[in-house]
Amino acid sequence: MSKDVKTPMLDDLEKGAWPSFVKEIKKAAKRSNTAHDLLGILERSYRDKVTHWKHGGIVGVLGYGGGVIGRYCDLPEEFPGVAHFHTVRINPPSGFFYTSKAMKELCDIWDKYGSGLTNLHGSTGDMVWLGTQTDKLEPIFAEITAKGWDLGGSGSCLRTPSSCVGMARCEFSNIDTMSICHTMTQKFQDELHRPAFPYKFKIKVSGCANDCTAAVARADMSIIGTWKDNIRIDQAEVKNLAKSMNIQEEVVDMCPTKCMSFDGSTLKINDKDCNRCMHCINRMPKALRPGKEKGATIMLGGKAPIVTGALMSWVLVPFMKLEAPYDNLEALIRKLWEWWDDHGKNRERIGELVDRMGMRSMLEATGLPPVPQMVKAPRTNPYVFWAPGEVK
Amino acid sequence: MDAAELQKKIYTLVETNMGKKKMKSGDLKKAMVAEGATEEEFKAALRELVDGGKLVYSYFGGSFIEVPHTEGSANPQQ
Repeated sequence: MSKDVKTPMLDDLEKGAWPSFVKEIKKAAKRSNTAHDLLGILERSYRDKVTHWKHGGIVGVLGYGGGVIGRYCDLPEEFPGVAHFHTVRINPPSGFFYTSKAMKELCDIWDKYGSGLTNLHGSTGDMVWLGTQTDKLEPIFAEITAKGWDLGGSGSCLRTPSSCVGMARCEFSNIDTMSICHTMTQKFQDELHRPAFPYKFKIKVSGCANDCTAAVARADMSIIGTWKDNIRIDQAEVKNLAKSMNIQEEVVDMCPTKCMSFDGSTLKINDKDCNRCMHCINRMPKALRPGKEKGATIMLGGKAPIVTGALMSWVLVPFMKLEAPYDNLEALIRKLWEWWDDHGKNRERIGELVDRMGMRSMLEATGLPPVPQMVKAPRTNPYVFWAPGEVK
Repeated sequence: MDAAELQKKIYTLVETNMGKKKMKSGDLKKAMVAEGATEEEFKAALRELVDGGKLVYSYFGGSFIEVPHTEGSANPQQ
């Protein structure tokens, strides 16, 4: 362990009402060299106003191309505890449900081989273990797999699919998000662990348009539970709710498609104009329920601004019935990957490829019919063009 | 294509490009398919090479396939 360092700038981050990560690192530093030197190098980075981390390289476990993110520091003599500071991603259970026994087992492994610092959960959805050395990676892998766990995805591969809690805890869920997430994880093991794509591909599954996984903003493929038929209305409960809330102002006037009306006693919905945004159901959960014909809207292209700007997912399939084993979803995903693999440049996300090559190329490759819902925004060019041979 | 021959071709392609071009899995696949291998044969051959430690995955702003080597940026284990 390097000598004790003063950390005035980090100490400042312990002030205030919010829980501080500095406080937690300091606690870990009492028994971990890695956590101790992490404090030192972090303080140094704040002082120097540059990062002292080096990212990437050949770090991982035999046979896998993902799950470990290599980190070294550029001041190894000064901070030997973080000379190696690799991150390990653990694939979590769907919906992030753990037993306390499982959690303890995982923490014991991490205390044995790493800094003890974790991030539950990283933005990809993995359990993230922060800070270990190269020679600890194979023992970690051996111990977690012996307990039935596996590494998550990293690099140019399918990233660990993630889902909201779905039907396990939420009455709004229109699809079994946990089952879809688990099934896709099992089906795509090869794509998850052996990077073969132009760049990363993320799948997130939300049970309804409330989108608790923020799939539309964060996932290349956003699977959003929805329904096809009419919203179920309990008019007696509507009358009851009218006594305690202003249905006109809080629900009807807030409807984005203005498909609702309320005469003081009866609520009417023109379901043909409803875009299934969930606002009215959120506000009146006792009176309104999603319809009975449930499935998912499949959206494509969401991403954060890394190489190019951020994109929000847009509709690819307005309604897809999703029932185990989800072969229809798997077939669509594989077709999209094949097209992306054929045409994508290095570090080009699939949404960027659609922007570059146009929807027609993608639609021809996947066999999907062009539909109005694919138009990203009203009065914009839908960039769906007919080939000369298709015009009659 | 014979599995051993395919593995040799993949390895040679990666090795000859070292220092000139980082090869992605997709680059290798396209080259091997052009030589007559199927995608499934290529996947199996690459997996054998990686599982055997003859080739490794690396990450430099994207994932690549390389011959194992000591990285210049890697610190010696403390």
